[in-house]
Amino acid sequence: MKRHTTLSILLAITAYTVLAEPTHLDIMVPDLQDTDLKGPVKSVSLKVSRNVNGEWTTEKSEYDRTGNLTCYTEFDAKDKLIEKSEYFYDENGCYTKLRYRNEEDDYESEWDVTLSPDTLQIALREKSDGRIGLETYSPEGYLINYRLVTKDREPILTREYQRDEKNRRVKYTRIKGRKPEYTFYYKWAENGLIDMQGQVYHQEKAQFRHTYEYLVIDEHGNWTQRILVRYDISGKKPVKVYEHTVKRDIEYFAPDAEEAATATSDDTSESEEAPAEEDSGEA
Amino acid sequence: MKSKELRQFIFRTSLWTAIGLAGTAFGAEKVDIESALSEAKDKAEEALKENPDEVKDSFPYSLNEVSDKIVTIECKSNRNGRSAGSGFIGKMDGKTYVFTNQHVLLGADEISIFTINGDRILPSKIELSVRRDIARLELRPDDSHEGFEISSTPAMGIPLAVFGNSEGGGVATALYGKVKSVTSDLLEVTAEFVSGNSGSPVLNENQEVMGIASYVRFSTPEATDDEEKEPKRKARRFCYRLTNVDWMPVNWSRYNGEYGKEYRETEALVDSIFDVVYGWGDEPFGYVPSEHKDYDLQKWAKNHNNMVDRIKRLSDKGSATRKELNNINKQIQGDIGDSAEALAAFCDRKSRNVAMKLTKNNLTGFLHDEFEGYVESLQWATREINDFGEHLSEIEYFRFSN
Repeated sequence: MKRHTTLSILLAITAYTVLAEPTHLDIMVPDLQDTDLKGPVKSVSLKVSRNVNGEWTTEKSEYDRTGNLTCYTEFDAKDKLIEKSEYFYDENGCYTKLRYRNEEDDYESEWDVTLSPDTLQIALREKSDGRIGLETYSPEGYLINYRLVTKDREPILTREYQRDEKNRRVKYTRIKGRKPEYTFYYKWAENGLIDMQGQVYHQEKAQFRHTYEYLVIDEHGNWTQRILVRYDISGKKPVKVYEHTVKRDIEYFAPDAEEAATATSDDTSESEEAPAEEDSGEA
Repeated sequence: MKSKELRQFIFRTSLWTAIGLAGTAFGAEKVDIESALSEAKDKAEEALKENPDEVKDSFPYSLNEVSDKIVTIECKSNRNGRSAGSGFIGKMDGKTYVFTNQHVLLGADEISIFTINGDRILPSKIELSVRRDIARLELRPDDSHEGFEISSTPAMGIPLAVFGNSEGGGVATALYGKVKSVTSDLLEVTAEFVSGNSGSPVLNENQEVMGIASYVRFSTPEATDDEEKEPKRKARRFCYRLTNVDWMPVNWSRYNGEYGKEYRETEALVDSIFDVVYGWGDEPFGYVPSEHKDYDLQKWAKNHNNMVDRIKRLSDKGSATRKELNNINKQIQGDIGDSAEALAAFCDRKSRNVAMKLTKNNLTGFLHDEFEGYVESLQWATREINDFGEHLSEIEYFRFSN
């Protein structure tokens, strides 16, 4: 009887494994993991002021509990919506569709997602004009290449990423059509924050450097205030081009009931991290 | 603290309003441009005010508790009289200094530094920031005054206090607010500091200096379709940070002699020119201010006012034939045009003289930018006065009444 039950269970597991559809997470890590953000981030509102002009533009990214990006929006300094990207997932949590809208240009596009776990690739096909965006991932699940082509396979845009042993970007090249446009080089500090960036424009032979100063880091280890300074280092002396003052308003998921119960029973000393903020929108 | 943009804005508004008014019948009601603009600015600033009392009530220490580190700086110039600013004693690179703005010190023949408690400070040498409007004066080895620590990471939104010498009255005042924005060399703050606060320390709750109160800038007025509505401008207050500063030692008496005095004189000259053209723009047939330190400007103003007298005498004539009126109008148009041309030529000459300073390679970044700003102001004034003169010289000042 016992052997019969065990066999049934094993068969059920095998059947489930064979029949279960792959999701995008079999190919890539959740979007949140490929950012510099730590902890259960629900949303990030990035506000940028250029050259202390007193105006702040906003970029907002929203994530689900798995860390999938669900929505990205950009607003101008008067809080007017400029563009929005929505990412759709099915009942199994699999990435299925991307919808993009640009309010300024009154332009919309919709992309259907196809997965190829064998080649570690995700393809997005635009419904109206047939453009294809092909994302290629490393075995560790990090984006290493993105190619956007026309329906006739003419290259429009390519992005190539190189990563270090911690899967952090160390090099990013943007190629417009067939010509390399620029390359970014990243230098990371011991604390995991980006320390400096170099940028080389290949056609114009110009070079720039970005330095970073972090003003505030929250209890999760995420910076919430930062200054970026861009220098033109093409000539003999570095010349400041612009500064970005950046604020990040980060919203965190409240721990769910199971996590909270586990934490309470296991907790024998003070936690190093502060509890996530209450999410007033959830029931 | 000066605002090139505000001067230009008021000047342009005055000029073009005057051109519109000059076409109307003689003696029409005049619009008081300056006071209307000033009222608009006040209203805009009022709308944007945070409540500094909230910060003040919760700030963990008062001016009195740190008064031994706050200084007033009194400057005496043989040519320009007295002025006053603020400063503070701070620690940097293992030494103790008085920190203030370069513009507080420049042009002074005598500088006196006292703490609020009345202690006289006698620094040994002066260094100037290569790029920012900051000066540091090293205290002598036998000076036992303690200084503030310098904060390396000011955060946006944190409360602050500005302790200094508002309006140059020699009385220390405390202002409160928050850090609004931060860049690599600047803080923008909400504390409403004014002239006289230049050089004041901007302090966080830990008695660390985040920056030095330096200048006020007025934003560009917002566009409005409603001609009746005054354009809104707001004051923004900026402080230089004290981290990552490159310092250059100077022989103060030589540096001040070569640049400081000219800086002050050019500043006063630009103010005088704008005073003249405000007056002229406001009242094309009225007198312009005639007392100026610059001899050539004074001479021009006197000649211009003599021309105004001649026009007034002509208008007293009462009646004239059409031919006589045409001749009178031509004469006035010629005189007005000549006066504008002379003033524009004066401004152009002065801008070239100041531009010569920009070629000097021991000029600090701050002073270079200031001189550059004056050159731009003078060149702008040259163009505007030329345009104004051309338009005025096309207008018929006397017409037959129907």
